[in-house]
Amino acid sequence: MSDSKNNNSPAEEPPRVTLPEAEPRGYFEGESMTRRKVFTAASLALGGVASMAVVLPVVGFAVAPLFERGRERWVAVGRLDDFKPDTYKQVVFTETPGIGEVGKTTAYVRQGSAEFDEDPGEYLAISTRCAHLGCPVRFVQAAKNFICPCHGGVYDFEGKRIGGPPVRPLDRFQTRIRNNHVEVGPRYSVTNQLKAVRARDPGEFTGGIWEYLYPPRPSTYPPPSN
Amino acid sequence: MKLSLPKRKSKQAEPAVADGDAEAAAAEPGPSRSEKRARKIAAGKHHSAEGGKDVAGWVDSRTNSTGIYTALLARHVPKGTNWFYTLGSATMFIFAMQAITGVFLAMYYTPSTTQAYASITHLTNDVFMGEFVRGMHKWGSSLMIILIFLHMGRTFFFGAYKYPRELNWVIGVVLLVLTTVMGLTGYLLPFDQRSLWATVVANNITASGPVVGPYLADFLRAGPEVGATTLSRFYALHMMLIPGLIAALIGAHLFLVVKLGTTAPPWVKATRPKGALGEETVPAGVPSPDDAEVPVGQAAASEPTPEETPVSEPAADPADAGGPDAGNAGEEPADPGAEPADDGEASA
Amino acid sequence: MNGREKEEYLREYEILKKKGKPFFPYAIMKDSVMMVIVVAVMIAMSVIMGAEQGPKADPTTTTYVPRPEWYFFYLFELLKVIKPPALVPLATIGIPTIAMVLLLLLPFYDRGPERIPWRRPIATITGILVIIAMAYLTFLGANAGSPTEIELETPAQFERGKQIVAETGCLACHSIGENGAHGGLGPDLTHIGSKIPPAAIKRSVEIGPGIMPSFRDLGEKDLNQVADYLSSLD
Repeated sequence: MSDSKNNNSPAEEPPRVTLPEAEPRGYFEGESMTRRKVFTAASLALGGVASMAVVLPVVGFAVAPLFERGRERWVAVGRLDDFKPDTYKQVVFTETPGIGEVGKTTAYVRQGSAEFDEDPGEYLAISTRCAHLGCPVRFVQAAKNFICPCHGGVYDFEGKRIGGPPVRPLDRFQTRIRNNHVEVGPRYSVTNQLKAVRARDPGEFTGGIWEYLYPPRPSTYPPPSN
Repeated sequence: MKLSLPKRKSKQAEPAVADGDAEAAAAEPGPSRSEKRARKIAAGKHHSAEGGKDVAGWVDSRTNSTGIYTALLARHVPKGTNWFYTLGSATMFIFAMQAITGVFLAMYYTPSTTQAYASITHLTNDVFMGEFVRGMHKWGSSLMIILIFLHMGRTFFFGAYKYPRELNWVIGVVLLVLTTVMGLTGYLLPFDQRSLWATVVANNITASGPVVGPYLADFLRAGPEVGATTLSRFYALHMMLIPGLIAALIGAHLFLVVKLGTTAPPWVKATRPKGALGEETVPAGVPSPDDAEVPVGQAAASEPTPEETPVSEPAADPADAGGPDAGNAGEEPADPGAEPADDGEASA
Repeated sequence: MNGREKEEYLREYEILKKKGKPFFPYAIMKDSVMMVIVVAVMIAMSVIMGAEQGPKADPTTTTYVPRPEWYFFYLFELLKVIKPPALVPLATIGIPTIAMVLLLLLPFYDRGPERIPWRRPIATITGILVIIAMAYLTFLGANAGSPTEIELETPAQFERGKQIVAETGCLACHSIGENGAHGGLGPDLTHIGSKIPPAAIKRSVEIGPGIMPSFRDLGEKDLNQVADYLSSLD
């Protein structure tokens, strides 16, 4: 890297042929820069219009389901006296019709219990979807709690988290009584204080500031008022 | 390709030599139109004379296939290239295998929530060699993941992601992500218990991202629940969108491999006599700034000889002064045009 | 790398390239051998392991134990290792995203000119540690027992008790052998029989001390079975 070394070596360096490059690239004789700019802008604009004319409808087409809410469905799952306040009964019903088995879901249903300050005239339907990542939870009668086989989430009799990684209590379904039968309706989520909020996906916190960090989606139903 | 073009030109110019005016043509950089035509005719005659028998030559003269051959296949791989360098091509090969088996599986598969499982049962149990082809596709996906990780490990430990191949590393990481997405989307298609629950969990993992997560999960599922449209959406992603992206990115990855060359193992060093190439790359007294960019186009570019005086170049054409690059043409330290100026001064 | 080092590298590389062999047929030969090996492994796996089909997708199940494909095991295990609910987004989205961004931007923060693995120990050791961590988590994920099953061998007379323990959800908080919540809410029960007398075990299950729920609803007969089984674990 010394000066002298540098000066001794030019003989070893192969000759180089350089052609003067037109500036800017692709310049032709007689070209005016205004004309060039107009053509550049026009080709970009026209190309943009043509691509957007295809891309925007297609994206809208793919994104549309985010803003669609299916028809509200209520399904009868059993007679009133099928359900007791001290234990859950497992029911399977169709949540999304027309797509076969995969449209079905499971809920644990019981009568409201005085032990938990609930109205005995009301019925509770708890979703089997774990609030951690959506694995199927199982109600264990002996311990009176729900357990999840994926990552070890545990919930108590009311569906509140007592162990493992779940971020909120188990989801619920709205219920009503028609013709001496219990009917279940849209899904909703609850906060840790069991306050009803719009349905969230598993893994999303509810209540307080979390309501803003995990905003409700337009594809879900408003929660029951309580 | 860059190399081959001048070659072809000189070949075509050969017959013109016989005509006598070739000397003028060769000396002058821009021959007149009539001279060009004369040369073309001469070249045409030359070709037709040996033409008919030579289909390869005919194709070559229209596609420059020898140039492509030179650039793609006759290129040298550096000394020391070893078995670790086969992992990338093996990954690409298994991608091709997945594409082939995938196309044939699609012939029997029905992407509908009510029929998907039955169509897989039929494919596996009834179709001739069905289980074998499905097994190749299934285990091929695992192999592809293993190979892409090994290829990445080689690149990492050999420091092959460093200058000038940073961009190729970035493309490679995107390919890794796309490959795992292929694994995930393909997993739903057989529509058995594993498929369904893996998809449910993956969707909810997406949903647990703050602010955009819930909407992204709705977008992937095409609704609030995993259902019929989820399956067809995953099918479209798995069959068309992501393979297309992967193929395009493999193309870009390979383009850069051909352009920049494959690396040598880092411990293989070129032996060269003292004072030869490499030592005196930058003239003394001109320290290169740390962020100086050395364009690979000038790889091993020789230093211009001091006789050249490109100092005048920027000023040569006043019309260019407004051009975007005109301003810094003389200042860019790594620009080969700039260095000889100092070099010349130093030697003077 | 500064400009000088970049030029130095390009020159060095150019020399190595000149000394190398043409890609075709020399490098292609090695590639082809590798391809044959890969396709042979693929065919062997397909023939030996086949492509079995699991039970049909059923979203109404309450007994199925979901497990991901093996190459997601380390992510799956990460979700299990990170327990506090407040950290769930970190485990699901945070850590994987940060890791991917770090991986993507690697050439832009590791800009040193050195390429030989043993002369850049930080990069090499980090890489090896990441591989070890991923391999370890994958191993754990692969061996993760279901919380509704106990794989530990048991004498025949305690089988009934073992089955009740497995199905009653004890493993959501406790662990027995490979199965259950390691580091969960409750203590490890693998050697409980040598620590606590049988009568105390039965009483604990019956009344549920501390945060543990009572399992009185099992009934006297099943409670005895459970207590006998747990006492046999030593």
